[in-house]
Amino acid sequence: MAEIVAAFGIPHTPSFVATVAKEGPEVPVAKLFQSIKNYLDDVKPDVIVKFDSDHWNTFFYDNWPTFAVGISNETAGPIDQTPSMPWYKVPVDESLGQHIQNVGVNNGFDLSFTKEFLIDHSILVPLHFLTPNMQIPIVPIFINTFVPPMPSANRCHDLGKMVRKAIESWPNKKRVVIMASGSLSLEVGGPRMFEGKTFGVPDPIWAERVVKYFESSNINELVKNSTTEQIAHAGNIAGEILNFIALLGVVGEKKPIFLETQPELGNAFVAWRLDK
Amino acid sequence: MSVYQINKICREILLDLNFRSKTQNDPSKSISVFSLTTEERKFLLSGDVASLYKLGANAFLLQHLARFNVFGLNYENYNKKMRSIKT
Repeated sequence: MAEIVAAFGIPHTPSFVATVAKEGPEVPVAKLFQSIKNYLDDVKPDVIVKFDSDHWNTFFYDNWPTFAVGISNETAGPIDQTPSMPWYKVPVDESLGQHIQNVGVNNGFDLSFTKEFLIDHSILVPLHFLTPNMQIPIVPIFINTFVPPMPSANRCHDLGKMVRKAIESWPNKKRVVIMASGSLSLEVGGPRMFEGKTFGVPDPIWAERVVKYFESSNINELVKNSTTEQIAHAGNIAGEILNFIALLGVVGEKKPIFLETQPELGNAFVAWRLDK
Repeated sequence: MSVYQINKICREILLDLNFRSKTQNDPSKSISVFSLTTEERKFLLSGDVASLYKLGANAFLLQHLARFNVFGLNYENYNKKMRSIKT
């Protein structure tokens, strides 16, 4: 059976790619990703399962799933033309994706799927820094974190628990890493942008509280407090917390071994070791 | 109201390079294929993103218009227009 060896919660801020390309590996954000990469390399993953918010690129309002699995051999991107990022081809583990969908549908999660899809910066910014050779296959699990009505925090937490069960029943002796990405409080393109910027952080206090929940592994409080109203108050992109909540459904009540924040961006970098 | 069509135009500006350059060159002709109300058409062509937002257009998607400089928009004037909305 497969083993879940680590979990990572990270940001996917598109401008990081150009910043590091311009300023080099000593810039703080490059060092943060390097720390996460060291943990990732340590656990020698065979496959990465990624909880992800598509930003209206892979999907659109004509066909918008609440939860969907990418089931394919390969994907590519960034479809949204992230500045300074090359066009990447990324292997996808079709067998694990199909297994997760099967287990989901048999356990009360009627997961949608896509067999031909491209991906945006939300998957590729983390991979650009963490697996730049794109050698490790991924399985994307897309969550509707942006378009009301979004799934509840509780439902996303249960999704994570189901995904854990699915991976642990996958009859392949593989080492699996789980990732989620996004910001904890973020407004992009809306009225709560900072002056002269393309984004804002409308609720830094909420972002701080979320980080405390991570630190103390107080998942129940995080789930209880991540209401639709709280998420809306934290910004039009703050639904990305649902990716982290799904991740915590996999992690359980374990404390992170690494936690750093970028409060000015509403971001956190978190790592959990889960191998035995 | 055709908020769906406005959102779709924003997304096509990002993903469809041909549509993007057509819109940069002749915005009125380029968007004529979409079913918009007179008001929506007016707001789009004048880059009035605050009014489009109030109609229900998605802010994340609207910002693509500033990124690719269509309808007279750039990041600077987009930021000012959008921040003029009281929240």
